[in-house]
Amino acid sequence: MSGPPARVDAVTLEARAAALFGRAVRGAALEAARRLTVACLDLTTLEGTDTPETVRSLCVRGRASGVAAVCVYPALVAAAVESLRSSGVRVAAVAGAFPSGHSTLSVKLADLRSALDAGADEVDVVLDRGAFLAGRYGEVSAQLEALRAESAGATLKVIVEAGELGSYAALRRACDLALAAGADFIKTATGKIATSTTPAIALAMCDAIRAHRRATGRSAGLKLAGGIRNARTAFGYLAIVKESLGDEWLQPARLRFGASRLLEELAATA
Amino acid sequence: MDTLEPQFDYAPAPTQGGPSILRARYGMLAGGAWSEAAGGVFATVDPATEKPLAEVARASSDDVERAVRAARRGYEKYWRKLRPSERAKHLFRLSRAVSERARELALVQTLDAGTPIRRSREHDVPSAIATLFTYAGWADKLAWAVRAGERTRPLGVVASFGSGSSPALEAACALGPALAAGNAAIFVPSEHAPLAALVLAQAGLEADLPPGVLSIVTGDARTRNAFVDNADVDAIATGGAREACAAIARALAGTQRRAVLRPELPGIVIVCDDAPLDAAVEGIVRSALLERGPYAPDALRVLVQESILSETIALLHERLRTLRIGDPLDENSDGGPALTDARREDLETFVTAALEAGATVARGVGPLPERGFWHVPAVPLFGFRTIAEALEKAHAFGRIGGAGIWTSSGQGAVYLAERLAAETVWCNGYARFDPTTYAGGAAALRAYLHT
Repeated sequence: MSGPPARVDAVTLEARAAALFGRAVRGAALEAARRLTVACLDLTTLEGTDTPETVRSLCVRGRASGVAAVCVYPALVAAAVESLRSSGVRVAAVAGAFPSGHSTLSVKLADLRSALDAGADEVDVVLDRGAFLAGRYGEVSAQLEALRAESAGATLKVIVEAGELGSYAALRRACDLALAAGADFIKTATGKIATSTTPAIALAMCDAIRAHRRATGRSAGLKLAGGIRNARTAFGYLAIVKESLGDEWLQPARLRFGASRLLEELAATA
Repeated sequence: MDTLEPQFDYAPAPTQGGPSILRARYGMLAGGAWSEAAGGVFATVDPATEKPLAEVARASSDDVERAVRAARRGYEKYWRKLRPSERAKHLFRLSRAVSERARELALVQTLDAGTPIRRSREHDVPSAIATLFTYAGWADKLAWAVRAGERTRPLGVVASFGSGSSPALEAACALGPALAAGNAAIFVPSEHAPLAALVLAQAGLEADLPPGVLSIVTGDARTRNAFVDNADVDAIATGGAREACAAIARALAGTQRRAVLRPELPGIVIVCDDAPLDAAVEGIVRSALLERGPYAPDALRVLVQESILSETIALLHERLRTLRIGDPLDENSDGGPALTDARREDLETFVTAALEAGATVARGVGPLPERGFWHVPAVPLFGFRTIAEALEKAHAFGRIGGAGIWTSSGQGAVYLAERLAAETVWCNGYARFDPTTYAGGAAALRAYLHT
C-alpha cells in the first residue's frame, strides 16, 4: 500500500448507506433476492457445543438448499468435507486464532494449515486487532501476507472485525491492508461481538474494494457476517453491494453472507 | 464455483395511493374558507408524464382584492390583538395539523412537482413541519430575534410567492416566519406546483386559525402582479430568479411597503485533493442533481483540484451509471424530472455553456421516458491547481448562495470559508438546512418585523 491512508467521511457514508439499505425490494425482486442470498450463503456454526453430528446435519441442509459454503471450526472440517463431497458446496474454516487474533504467527499458521490439510476450500482468518490498534500496521501486513502464502490455492477471507476498530477511517485502513496482502474476500465481523455489521460498515468496505480494483485491477469479494438474521437485512445489504460495487458482485465468487439462522428465515419468507 | 448471471434488480415499487389522492378541482383559501376564483381555472400537470392532474383556481385581480381585504380584517380583528403566546398556540396547532397530513402532503408534492417520493417523505415534508414547529415557538419570543432595544411590530399583510422548488418546504418557510412575526400571511404557490400549498391550506382550516390569517391564493404571473400592485399589501416576499426579485424591488421602491427578497444565487462545490473522495463524489451528485436546495439549479459550479480530477471524473461516471432516475412515485427513484420544460432546457443550456467554458462533463445514461420533462443527469467539472486559484474562480462567480467544501483538513475548510463570498458554507456537505439554527430560522424573522 502506498500513499496516505484513504479518507472517509462518516456523515455522508452513513446517509448513503441508510438510503441504499432502505431500498424497496418488492414483488418479483423478492424471489430473486432470496435465491441470490441463498446462493451466496456461508452456512455457519461456530459454537463451543458443535459436534461432527451437528455439523453433518448442517451440511445436509446446506446441500439441499444450494448454499455457497458451510463454515466451521478447523477441528470439524473433516466432518463437513465428508458430508459435502461432490455437492458443489464448499467447506470454509475459521482460523488464525479466531476470534480474537491474539496468538503468535506460528500458531496462526499451524491453525490455518490444519484446516487446509483437513480439506477446507476456504479459510476465514482474523486480522490482528491488537497489533492494528497499536499502530503496528507493518506487523499486521506481514502476518496477513504469511497467511496468504500459506493458503495459496484456497480462498482467503480476512475478517477485520469492524466493530472493534473504532472509526470508519480505521476500518478503511484495515480493509486496504487486507486487500493489499492479497485477501480474496474481506469480511465484516466474527459474529462474536455485539457490534458486528452495519450498512455503513458494509458500504465503507465496498468503497475499499472498489478503490482496490481501480488501483490494481483485481476484484476482491465482500463477506457480510454477524447479526444478519432476517431476509430484510440481507436484502438491504444486497442493495448496498449492487449499487456501490455493481451487478458483477452479485454472485458467490464475490459476495457472501455468513449466518447461522438466515437460511430458515429465507425459507420462511419464500 | 459457477458464475451466476447478475439476477437481482428492483421491481417497480410504486407508492400506495398515487393520483387517486387528488381532487379534480381545487379552489383557493381566502378569508378562512374555500372559494372559486372569478379568473376561472388552470390545469396543473404532472412533470413526469405531462398529464393534467387537477384544475386549480386562477385568482383574478378581484379575487386578489378580496383575499387581501380578508387578510387585513384577519390581521386587525384577530391576529394583531392576540397575545403572542396565543398566536404561538395557533401555530403549534397548525404544525400538528400539517403533520397529520404528512403522508398526503408528500404524495401530492411528488405528483405535482416530480420530487422523488422518498425525498418528499423523508426530507421535504418533515423539514416543512419542523419549520412550522420552530417558528411557532418564536411567536412569543420575538424580542430574542432582534437586537436589544429594537421593536417587534409586525408589518401587517404579507404576500409570499413560491417558485416551485420543494413546494411543501417553501410554503412552510414563507408562512412560518411571517405568521410567527404576527402578520397575516398569504402564500401564492407557483402555478407549476400549486397543490402542496393547498394541502397546507386544508391543514390551516383544520387548525382553526382565525379567518384571513392564513390564505393560499393560486394563480399565475397576473395574480402575483395584482398583489404587487395592491397598496394594502404591506410586504411582498419572494425567492426565485434574480430578475423577478429585481422587478419587485423596483415596483416597491419609494413606497412604505417592504420587499423581502431571497433571489436564487449560484452555488459552488470545491473538492480539495485531501477530500474523502467517495463522499465527495456522492456530495457532487447530491448537490448538482438531487438536493440542490434553494440555489439556482442551473448555476452550480463544481471545482475539483487537478491532481484528483481524473479520478473524480472516473468515480463520478461510475456513480452516475447507478443513479436511478425515473417515476417519482417509485420508492427506489433517486431523481425525477425538472418542474417545467423551460427548466429542463435551462439545465441543458447550462451544461452546454459549461462545456464551452472548458468544463469536463460527467454524464449519466438514458433511456428516459418519452413524455415528461426528463433530462440525462450531467455534471460539469472545472479544475483548479491551488487554493488561491479556486478562490479566484469562485470570486469570478460573484455572490454565492451556498458553498460546499470537501476536504479532510479543518484548517483548510476554515481558510476557504472565511474567504468565499458565500451566504452559507458547508464542510463536507451541501444545502443542509435546519430551522433551529440562527441562519436557518431566527434570522428570517427580522424581515417580517418593523424593528
